[in-house]
Amino acid sequence: MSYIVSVKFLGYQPWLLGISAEGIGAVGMVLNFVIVVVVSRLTPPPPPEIQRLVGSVRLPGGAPHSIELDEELVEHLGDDGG
Amino acid sequence: MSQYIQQLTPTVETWTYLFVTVTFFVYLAIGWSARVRETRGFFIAGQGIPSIANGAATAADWMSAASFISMAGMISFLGYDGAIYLMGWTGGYVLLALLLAPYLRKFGKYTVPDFVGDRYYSSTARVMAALAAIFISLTYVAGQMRGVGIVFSRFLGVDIASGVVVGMLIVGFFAVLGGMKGITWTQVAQYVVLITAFLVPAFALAWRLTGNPVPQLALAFSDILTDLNRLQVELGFNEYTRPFMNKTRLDVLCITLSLMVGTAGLPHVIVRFYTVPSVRAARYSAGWALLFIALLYTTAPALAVFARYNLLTTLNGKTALEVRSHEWVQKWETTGLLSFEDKNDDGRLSLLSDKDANEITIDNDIIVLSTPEVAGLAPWVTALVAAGGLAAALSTAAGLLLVISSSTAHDIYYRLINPKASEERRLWVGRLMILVALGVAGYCGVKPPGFVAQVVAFAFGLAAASFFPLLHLGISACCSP
Repeated sequence: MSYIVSVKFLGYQPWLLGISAEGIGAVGMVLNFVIVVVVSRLTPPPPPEIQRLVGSVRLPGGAPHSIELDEELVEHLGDDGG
Repeated sequence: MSQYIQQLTPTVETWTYLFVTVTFFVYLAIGWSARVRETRGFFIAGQGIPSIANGAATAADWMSAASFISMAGMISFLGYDGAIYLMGWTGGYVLLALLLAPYLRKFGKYTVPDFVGDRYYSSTARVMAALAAIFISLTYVAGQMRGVGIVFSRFLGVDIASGVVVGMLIVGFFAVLGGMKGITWTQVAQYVVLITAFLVPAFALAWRLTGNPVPQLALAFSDILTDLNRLQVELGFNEYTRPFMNKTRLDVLCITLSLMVGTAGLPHVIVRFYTVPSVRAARYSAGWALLFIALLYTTAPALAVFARYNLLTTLNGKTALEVRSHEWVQKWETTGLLSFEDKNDDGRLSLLSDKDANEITIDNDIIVLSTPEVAGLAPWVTALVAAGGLAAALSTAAGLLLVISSSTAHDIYYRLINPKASEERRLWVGRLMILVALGVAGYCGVKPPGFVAQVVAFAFGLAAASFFPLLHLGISACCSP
């Protein structure tokens, strides 16, 4: 963000290897990959049901998990109004 | 007699009013017939959209005013280096279709922030994702409304503000009433309009310049690229097909990658895959969308070459009087997107690579919109292009508005502020947020605060750096975080 601000609004030349503000997202992506992995290693894992859900998502076949519905929404199912 | 017949022949403006009015009434009718009264229909269209319809809606959602109006223009001016937009945006779609969409559909959540919040088991992550989605979408939707204003001001003679207000009313109507369901079926109609509007002038221009009506084949099997290269060199430009003339190799690589992962992370396209009944349907709709998108994206580079060649041969070396004798030149001059200045007082206008000596200034955005008139095509073709530009802008704006609405009403209001909110209350908040976002986007479209065009880099950069790593690792990481 600060790179884009400095190049787009403050008139600085693209100082990181000549990469323009439009291309800096690629560098941000690599950084965020590293950050996500590091933070994941330093924080507690999610509950087992979430881990099972993620595991099942990666396997082919099977029905999709249902969208969470509250009680009132269930009552309205089928009442599509259109 | 001939004068009488000429008076009866509809002008470009008449055709445009006709096409725009008819298409707008179609959109309004679809929006009314697809209105919903519950959140499942409002946010995910009841998950009952057929694959092919979702493919067409995804393509319309994906191809914004930037794709329809600006992309061919940018390629036209950048030449080979303009391929970054083709490779970036289409490559991004492939990443999305292969790596993200079917898995997110299987996870079974309403929104992208919902996935992030549940997958990473963090309310903070959910809020950050919602804020990023809102920022990205607002930036984008402001650009779409600006595109609507430009088309209105050029083709219908109304000022940009009035054009933006009309666009806001139309998109607001079917988005507020129908939510995702209304938006989806409207986008199907908008896809038909925009792809017809893009292909018809491209086919006509290819036929006129090369004798081959298929633009892709005309580009590959005619001498037009050789002629354009020669013309470019004569005027002091680099050869059109020579790579890395406008940007360095590393910059081209980074921009392409940023556009790819940025577009793969755009939330308004991801949520389209929540609207189909199954994971299999999500995969099929991704395939249909790829086919529909390819129709435009393989035509754009050909149209860019035809338009560039046509403009150079029509404007360069002519006197100001000759140039201004064209009606389309006078109209585009009034918009400020086309301007002339005989700097060396030789009585002729020259398009040159040297900015200080250049006497013809052409904005990227007029390449596609002006092509039918420059090529002397029938007035109804010009009007069709105007209707297509509006369809592209409105379809993307609608998808973005729904992301802002769902991020606020579902991810922030329902999930964090009031988890016991009733169905009616959540719908009310969702509709209110569409109106608020529309107001902000409309204001930015009428009075761009000077940085609207610049912050597009924010939208792609932020989507690339935030959503893509989070979604990809959330699905494919081998060990749970």
